[in-house]
Order: sequence, then structure tokens, then C-alpha cells
Amino acid sequence: MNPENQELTHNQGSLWATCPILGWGTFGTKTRAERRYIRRTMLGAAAGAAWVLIALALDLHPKAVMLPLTALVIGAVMTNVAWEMSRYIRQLDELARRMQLEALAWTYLTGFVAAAWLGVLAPLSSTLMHWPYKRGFLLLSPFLYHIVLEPVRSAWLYFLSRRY
Amino acid sequence: MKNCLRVLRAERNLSQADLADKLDVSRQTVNAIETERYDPSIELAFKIAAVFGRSIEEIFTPNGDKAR
Repeated sequence: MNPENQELTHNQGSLWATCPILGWGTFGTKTRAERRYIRRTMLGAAAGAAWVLIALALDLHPKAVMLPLTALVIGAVMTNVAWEMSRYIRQLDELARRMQLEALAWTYLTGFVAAAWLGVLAPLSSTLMHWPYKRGFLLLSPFLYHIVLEPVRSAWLYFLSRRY
Repeated sequence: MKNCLRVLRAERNLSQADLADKLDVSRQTVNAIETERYDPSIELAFKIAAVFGRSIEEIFTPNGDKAR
């Protein structure tokens, strides 16, 4: 084998990009699908967050209209995130798709355990610390859930990317 | 699963990126297959075999380890 071929056979490493994995939960390959996923989810999240801020500034008044409307907006934003993620994952090659799906599966299990423990902590905090319960919190919780779980998914994806 | 992908690639002066382009996968996927950290699907194995004009059995051999 000549030296040029030896260079070609040298292990070039996997080198999955760290920043996009930890930042966006994507592989940083800058494909059309990846750019579209980031752009659309960010636009949706920004619109949803703006609506929630406006609703909170208005103290959800009138409640009969604002509460269901805000819930509807948040539901739409989360549906958009899920839809765009599924489109992005379908565009990936088989190894990248496998890693994304594995990361999602581990995130689900992590969220499952965390939610179970939060279920224990919530009544404890309300009885021991007299933490007042606010109805508006229910509207924010999908956002909070997503904000908490996305870094968990990214962390799992990072861990998996070092394996392959 | 063991494979001789790296040797076949070098014989044809292909980089991992070149082969990845031909297979329509990422370079990291080619690297993971070469380093035997990932076993490709049947579909991808057929594509690899077609690129090198070999049968799947000539490129991939089971190593007797438990499936990943």
C-alpha cells in the first residue's frame, strides 16, 4: 500500500461537533433540514414566549378568553417543535437517526423519573413550605418541561456521539 | 461485525468523505462502520457492496460477538 493510501486508511475519527449537539440538539452538519428545524422551532418558541409574556402582563384578563387561548398557543408551539423534530430526524442518515432516537428514549426515561420525584416533592413543598399554587403555572409548565428536557436530550446525544 | 471497508476505500483512493457522498450518509457514519462501532443496516450494506463491486459477505464478516 503506498503512503497516500496509508493516509486514506488512517482513522479520521468521528468528530461529531460538540457545540451544535449541546446547543441545538443537532449534529451541526448545516444541512437544509437542520437549518429548517432550528429556524422554525426558534420562531415558534419566540412567538409562543411573546404571547405568554403579553398574557402574563395582562394578568390573563379576561380569564375566560385568555386562559384557553394561551393554552392553545402553547399547545401549538409544542406541536410545532415535535413536528419539526420528527421531520428533521426523518432526514438524517441511519446512524444519526439512531443516535437521535436513542437520545429521545433516554430523555423520556430521565423525564419519567424526574416527574415521579417532582410528584413527591410538590406536595411536600406545599405542606412543609406553604408554597402557594398558581393556576398560571399550568400554562407555563409545558415550556418549562421542554426547557428542562432539551438540555437532557442534548446531554444524552453528546454522550451517544462519543460512543460512535 | 468485522469489515474490510478501510482497505477497500484506500484501494480506490477514496476518503471517508468521498465514500460518504457515494453512500448518501455522513462521514461519521462511514467512520463508525470502519471502526466497527456501528453495524450498518442491510440497505446500507447493499449500497456499500455495490460501490465496491463486491458481495456483502466479502466485505462484512460476523465476529461471533453478541449483536450490538
